[in-house]
Amino acid sequence: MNKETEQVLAELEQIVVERQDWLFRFAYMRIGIREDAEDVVQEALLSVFRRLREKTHVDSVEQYVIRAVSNACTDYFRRKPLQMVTLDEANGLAVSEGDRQIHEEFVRINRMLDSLPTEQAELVRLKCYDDLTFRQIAELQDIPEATAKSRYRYAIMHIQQMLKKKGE
Amino acid sequence: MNNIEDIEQMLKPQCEFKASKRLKADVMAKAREEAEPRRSVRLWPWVAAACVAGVIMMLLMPPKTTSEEKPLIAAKAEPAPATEVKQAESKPEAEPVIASVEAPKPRKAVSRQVVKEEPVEESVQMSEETRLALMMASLNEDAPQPEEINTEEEIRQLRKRGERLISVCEMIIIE
Repeated sequence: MNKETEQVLAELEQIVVERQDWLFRFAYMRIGIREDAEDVVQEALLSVFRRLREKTHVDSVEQYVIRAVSNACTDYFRRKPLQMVTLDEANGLAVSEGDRQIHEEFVRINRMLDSLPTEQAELVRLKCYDDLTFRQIAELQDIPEATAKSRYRYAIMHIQQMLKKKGE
Repeated sequence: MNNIEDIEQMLKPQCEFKASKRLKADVMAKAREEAEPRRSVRLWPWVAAACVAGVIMMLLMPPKTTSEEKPLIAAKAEPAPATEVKQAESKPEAEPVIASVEAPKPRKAVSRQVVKEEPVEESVQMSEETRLALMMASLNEDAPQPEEINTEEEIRQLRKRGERLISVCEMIIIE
């Protein structure tokens, strides 16, 4: 193995150490299954490694990693035939004791975003849960930043109304 | 309650997400695997070498059909080294040049002359006469037969008899 490859491997290791938990959370909040979420993260990280090895120009490695995991999630849902499960059913799914907390979190967030259109729900996840800026969201979704902001506002207003209704 | 800030706060993560320890190990192992040259590429030169060796073996192996012809070739080939050996052996013993040159040539010439040329008949006739003369000489002689020779005296007599026979032959040839 040559020196360049060793350098790329070291760079990848650094990305894995710094970002693996964030990437896992990103994937898990969309997929809801630990094994599948970790497979998606692994796929995304390997694509980053390939890109680094090919010396393809990347403006921001961080942004590329986010896009890679987002695309990997989209591909996952394309490959796997979508199984419609209600949130109550999902809540009752057997999960290991260690994953119970994150599974409840998954159900809680999805319950809040359940009534929103898909694009708006994804935008709220990216903004609130994944803590991305509007610029990052706009780049990731290939939409203007203003559109991202307005969609987010609509989504929050919708959730607000929903919570008000529930409170009444 | 239910302000935008509150809602945003509600939508933020409430617990810690930890990826498995094996995730890092798996990613690094797969990345290393991809970085190393593939096994097929490493094996390729050996496969090529094996193919070349196979072709060379096939070229060097004699075909099955010639296996029956082998003895014939060997039989034809044997006399040549034998003559060479004989010539080589005769060289150091006798006079080198004469022995090597004269020995094989007359044999060939005689064999051809005997078959084709007219003097062959004369030689045959003479040999007939010689044979008769030899028979006559041997009948007239009192000397013992070769099987009966036991002493030096008998050998001497036999030698005289031979000389006599040769002189008779020479006389016949001259005639």
